[in-house]
Amino acid sequence: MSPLLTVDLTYTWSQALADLSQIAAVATLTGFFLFAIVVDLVLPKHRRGGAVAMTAVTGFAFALATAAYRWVYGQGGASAYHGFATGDNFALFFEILFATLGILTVALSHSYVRKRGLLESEFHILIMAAVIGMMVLGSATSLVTVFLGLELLSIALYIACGFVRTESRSQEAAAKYLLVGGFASAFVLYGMALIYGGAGTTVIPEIAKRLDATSSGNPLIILGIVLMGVGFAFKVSAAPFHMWTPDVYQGAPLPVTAFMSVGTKAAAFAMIVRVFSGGLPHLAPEWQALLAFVAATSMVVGNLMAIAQTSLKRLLAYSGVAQAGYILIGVIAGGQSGLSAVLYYLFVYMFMNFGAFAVITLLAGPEGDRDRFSDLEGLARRNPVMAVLMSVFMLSLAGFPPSVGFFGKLFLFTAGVSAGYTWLVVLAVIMSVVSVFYYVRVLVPVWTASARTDRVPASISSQGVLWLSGVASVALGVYPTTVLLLGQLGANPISGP
Amino acid sequence: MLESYVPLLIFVLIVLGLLGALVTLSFVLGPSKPYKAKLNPYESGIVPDSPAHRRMSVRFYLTAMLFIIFDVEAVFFYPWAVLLRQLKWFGLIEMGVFMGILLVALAHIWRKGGLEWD
Repeated sequence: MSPLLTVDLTYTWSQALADLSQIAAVATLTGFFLFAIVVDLVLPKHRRGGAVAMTAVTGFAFALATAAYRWVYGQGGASAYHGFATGDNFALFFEILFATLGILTVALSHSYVRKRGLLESEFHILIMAAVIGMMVLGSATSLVTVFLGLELLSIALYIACGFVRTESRSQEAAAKYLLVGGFASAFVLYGMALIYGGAGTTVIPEIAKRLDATSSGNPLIILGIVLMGVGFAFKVSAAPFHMWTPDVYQGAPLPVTAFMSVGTKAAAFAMIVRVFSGGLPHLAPEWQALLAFVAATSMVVGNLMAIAQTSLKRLLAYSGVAQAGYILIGVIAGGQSGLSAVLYYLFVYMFMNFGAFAVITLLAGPEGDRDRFSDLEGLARRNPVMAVLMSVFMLSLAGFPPSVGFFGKLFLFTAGVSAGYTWLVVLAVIMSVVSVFYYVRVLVPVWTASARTDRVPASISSQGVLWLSGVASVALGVYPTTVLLLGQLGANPISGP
Repeated sequence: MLESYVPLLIFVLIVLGLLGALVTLSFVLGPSKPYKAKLNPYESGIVPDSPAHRRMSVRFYLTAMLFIIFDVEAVFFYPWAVLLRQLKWFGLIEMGVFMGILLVALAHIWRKGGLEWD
């Protein structure tokens, strides 16, 4: 008998169940994903959209509940599938984040997709697939699983970006995102191959053990770090690898833009923290230098370019570039304070950024998205609630107290200073002051008197999204302790308590 | 350690030398009488009637993509089939789940008209 046939297969049922429970949230959502596809196939055409939307929301809610249950009852942490995945608090934190984001996205896009006459069921199924990819990224503890999640998330989003098939802008966005995203994936893969060559394993905790400080002189390892860092920077849309962001954000349909602006960023940061902070702690000086450069460039380029924009989507795209820079400070600082600041910021960024996009989404008409400054004119009279909430989101993104944006930045910057990156924090503070200009500029047409009196209608689910985002943007700032504590618990598997 | 590669190096050199010698010899010694039919691209002995750079229907792309996806997934059946007895019931059920997911995908493609040519 050949060696292959005599291999000892000791994968027992109890082991299989234990492994499956580690990825319970992902498995739950995958089940609902398959169910949604079947629902889309068997129901008559006019009932598909609503039924799939309901399936999607139920799936996200179940995944959220599963992750929350495992968090509360502390069953997470063991490594599953021979070290390829885990359900530790870090993974659970991101599963909760992405499931919430999924619910928000479906609730927001339901009326939008109807208004624009797009295929609704496929839309929600794509969003589910992307969320599954993001969750896989959160729980991945092997470079192979990381890449799997990255591709699952990216491929679903390439299609979602080009979802408006009649609009050339949307097609352009999809093509650009596909080409640049494929390029970035190749970078990540080359980097992973070199790290694998140096460590002899793809399992991230094993890499951390095998690549100690003596490997820091190895040029191939350094090259691997640089290549992965470039790919990661593409995915979080950090400068100087941000060129695709404004075009893709502008071309993609608005709910997709809202979803990816938060989701890809959070997922990519989960990936960076897992691979760099978790897998290469002994080579920290190398990737910290790289990320510090990227963070500084992002903050300068993002904030300065945002000033010149006339499209709200592009403005928020550049704002996203700048925000990626701020969050990178927390990753560079590392430790429990740095990483928990990153998790806190990603969690609250979801509400303030998604909320801002949600307001613009509701302005859209059947013919397309309306994202000029003039489209916001007189919003204070056309829909006062939306005007107030838009102000909350903008001021929060700018970092005014007592909003979540202020505390998020406070935690990030404190961690940066105590880790010795004062120059980076000084730059960040200066650039935050610059950012106030363009965030407030968005509010000028909202609050100035205007002749426009047409109402801005909002469906009940969209109103729910707006209210939840708005209340969370203030409440989690007034009372930041809970989420910060969750962030600390979530960061523990990587940073140690 | 590097010495063990010496035979390989010799082999490579012999291959390159032999190839070079054969090509050079046939170029120098062989008769050269080119005419139009002889310079045409060779395609199984059939005379070409149109340029090779022409537009193909995009449907080939979809068909090829679907073929590759299911082909790659079918490859997973081979190692599973070899180890089926050692994997016991667990392996059978696991493969059932895998095939179930594939079936959903196939049903989706079928129902959405991905398999129709026109």
